[in-house]
Amino acid sequence: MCGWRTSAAVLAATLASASTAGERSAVVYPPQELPLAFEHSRHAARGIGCDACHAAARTSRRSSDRLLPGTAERPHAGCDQCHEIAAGERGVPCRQCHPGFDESARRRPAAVVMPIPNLRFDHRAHTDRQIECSICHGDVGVVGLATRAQLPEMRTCLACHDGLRAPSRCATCHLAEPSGRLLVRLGSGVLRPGAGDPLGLDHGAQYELSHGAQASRAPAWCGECHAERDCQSCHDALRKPLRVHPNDYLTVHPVQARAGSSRCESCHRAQSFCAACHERAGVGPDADRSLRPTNLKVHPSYAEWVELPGPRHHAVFASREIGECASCHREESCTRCHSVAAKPGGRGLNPHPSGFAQSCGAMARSNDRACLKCHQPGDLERRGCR
Amino acid sequence: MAPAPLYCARLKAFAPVVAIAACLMPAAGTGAAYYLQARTEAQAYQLRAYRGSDPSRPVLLPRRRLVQQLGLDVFELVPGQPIGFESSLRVLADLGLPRGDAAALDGVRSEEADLLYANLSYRGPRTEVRLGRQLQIDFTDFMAFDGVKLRHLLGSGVGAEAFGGLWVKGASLLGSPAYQPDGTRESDARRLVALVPGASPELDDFEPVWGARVFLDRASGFSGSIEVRRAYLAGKVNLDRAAAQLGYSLHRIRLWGALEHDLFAQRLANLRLSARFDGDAFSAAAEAARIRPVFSADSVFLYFATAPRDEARLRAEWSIGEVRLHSEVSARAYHLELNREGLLFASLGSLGPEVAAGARTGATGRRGTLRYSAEVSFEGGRGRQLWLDLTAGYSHPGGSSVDARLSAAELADRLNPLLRGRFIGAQVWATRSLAPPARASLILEANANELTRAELRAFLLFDLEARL
Repeated sequence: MCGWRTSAAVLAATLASASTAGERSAVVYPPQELPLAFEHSRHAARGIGCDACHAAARTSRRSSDRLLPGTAERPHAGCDQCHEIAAGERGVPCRQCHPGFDESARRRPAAVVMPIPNLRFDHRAHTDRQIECSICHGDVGVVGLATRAQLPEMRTCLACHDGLRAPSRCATCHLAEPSGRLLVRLGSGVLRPGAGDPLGLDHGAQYELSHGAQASRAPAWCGECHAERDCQSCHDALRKPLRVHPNDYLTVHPVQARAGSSRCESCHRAQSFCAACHERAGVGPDADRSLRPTNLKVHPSYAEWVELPGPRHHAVFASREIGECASCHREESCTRCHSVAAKPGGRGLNPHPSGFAQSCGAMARSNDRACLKCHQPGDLERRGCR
Repeated sequence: MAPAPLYCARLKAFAPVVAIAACLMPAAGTGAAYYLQARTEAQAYQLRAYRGSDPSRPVLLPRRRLVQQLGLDVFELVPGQPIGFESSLRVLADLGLPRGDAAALDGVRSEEADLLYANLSYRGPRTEVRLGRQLQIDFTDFMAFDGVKLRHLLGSGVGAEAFGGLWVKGASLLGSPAYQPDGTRESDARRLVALVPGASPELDDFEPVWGARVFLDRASGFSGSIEVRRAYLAGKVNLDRAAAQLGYSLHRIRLWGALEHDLFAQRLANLRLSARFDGDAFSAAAEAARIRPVFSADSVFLYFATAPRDEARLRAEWSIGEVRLHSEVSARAYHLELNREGLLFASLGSLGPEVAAGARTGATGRRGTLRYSAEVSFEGGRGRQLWLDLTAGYSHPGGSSVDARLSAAELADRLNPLLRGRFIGAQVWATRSLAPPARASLILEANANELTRAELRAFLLFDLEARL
């Protein structure tokens, strides 16, 4: 089955070296205990193929199948076809393969512990497609004892499992729950993409704060492991995730909000969340007047903020970050002065950007409700917006 | 928050949903898998009110919240078929908020019940269908809707997705306002009764929304999509967007770019670019974005002279043994657009963008049952912040755990003179496993700062998780 001399050997060796570059996941491949002395290289050098010892691999359909030589009851079966093992009668001493074994102590050699990998794997599906052992396991002919380092890395699997030549869904190889999502809590730990993840899904440091870019890029990938409740456990805008909001966050949040409101926006809508709470706390100006006899003023003086042109004029702040305004003010705070003079209180102060008059007609034809908050219906007709 | 009759009506309205879910439950013994998850959260602390308040005479508002979240999932409703039902319901009572106060505040309810999602799904190898209340997460937004979504893989990495339904808003049946279009409140019912000028009767109308997307997923290293989304409110367009994204990955390098166009306002809404390298022990990412706020077309905020904001970020992470180190620098430029015809432009026409910058560095690690992290960060340009954050935790193999966090900040807000000085906060989170499916947690938070000499907050959580 190994076919060392096949024309694919070069490709296999290349892939194998890639597959052994990184440490294997201890969650997928739980640590093994191999108190054995074994030289794959010596066997390979004598032209002994993989099939000779691992015959069951060709037909195995499950990762839990025993693919080692022998059976649980007769572990030396297979080895004894070449080696004289029969209870140490003659020939090979036990300690040649079981280092440190003292035959006089009359105890069993230290046990080999090789936990079942937390993967689905069908050897037969691969051998039927003439995929050489070395494609996944590397060049075992140059190693002594084969360890977890000879088990395939995900990067190696993805070389073929690209969605075109072979399925690329995570549950093709990883264990899945009845929901179809991956089983991430395993006996060996929590399955979590780590450094060097071949799909670029590394859940690195502070991932709860930095996952947004990856999630918006490919939300379907998140759904391979996460249910909607995982998103909503933070993004529901009601709970207080302590890992996200440290310290006296209710008091200090304005400083952080002003420094980067896009983070706030990922969980909180300015008008439906921020403004309501601000009105209760006496910051927002538009609550029922019975609740706010003396609200806190956080703006510069009225003259600087409203009347005098200058860098502290509210239009400068609004243009740069209108989300800040919307987190306390309702639209009426703006329309009171910016409405046309014909509206009650209107001062006709134009807040639109330059050139707005050339493009607003199309918007008004699709939806003129916002226009009518400041303009009279007749204004729109005169401008040809209707 | 809603007065009692509305609250009761909301609960009663949930009855048909429960009934539908019950009908979907297969008879015992059909092999279906059940997942039950519940969290009870009690919060007790105080909010600082700025109404008639100063540091020497604080006014504090009580928050005594009780939040019950309940999730129920059933999979393999039909034996051997990938058909399932998933749901999440949240019931909340804020015992510290008098109903009279709540009734005077739009969008604040002292009692509420929200159906965060409840949907029936079929997840076949090529086709997925989801029917009911569900989340929609993509490059353009994070929203919820009541309706149907179809996703079909055509082959060779190409697929198509389409959805349609009613946008979930604060005024929807058992709806949360967390995902509704921004720029307007969820309802003007109170102000319409009070004859407040400008109150809008359309705010709580049904809002049909639909979207479609064609995508390419990892075909020869390329991924991408083209998508559109449109929403209507009271017969008029409320949101109209188109977006496209393209990514390419080669070995350990990933490049990605995306843009979103506001078809209603006829302008670029979002542009994002990123490059990323993922090594075994080192990763680096560079991201840049131009962001313009997109509001509901019913909101006057959309029509003002608002300028885009540019953001850039460089981040590197590397591993040394079990320790993961990270460093990041970021910068933001807030542009300015003024009406050139006004007096303001004459005086400020040469004013450039306002720039803010920040940096952070830290380490996280895990050794056996211990975990720890430390981070220092600085933000300047729009106020000033210097933060130091230390966390550590221990998990007992029996399921209990203790986590602690200490954060100290030196802050200076640029508008509010009260928000200056040192702020120190400490949190301790202790969890005890009561039985395999149940956990209880107590979280204590103590804060001390220029405004509050000492304050203690308490949170009590009870988690139940069962798979049947």
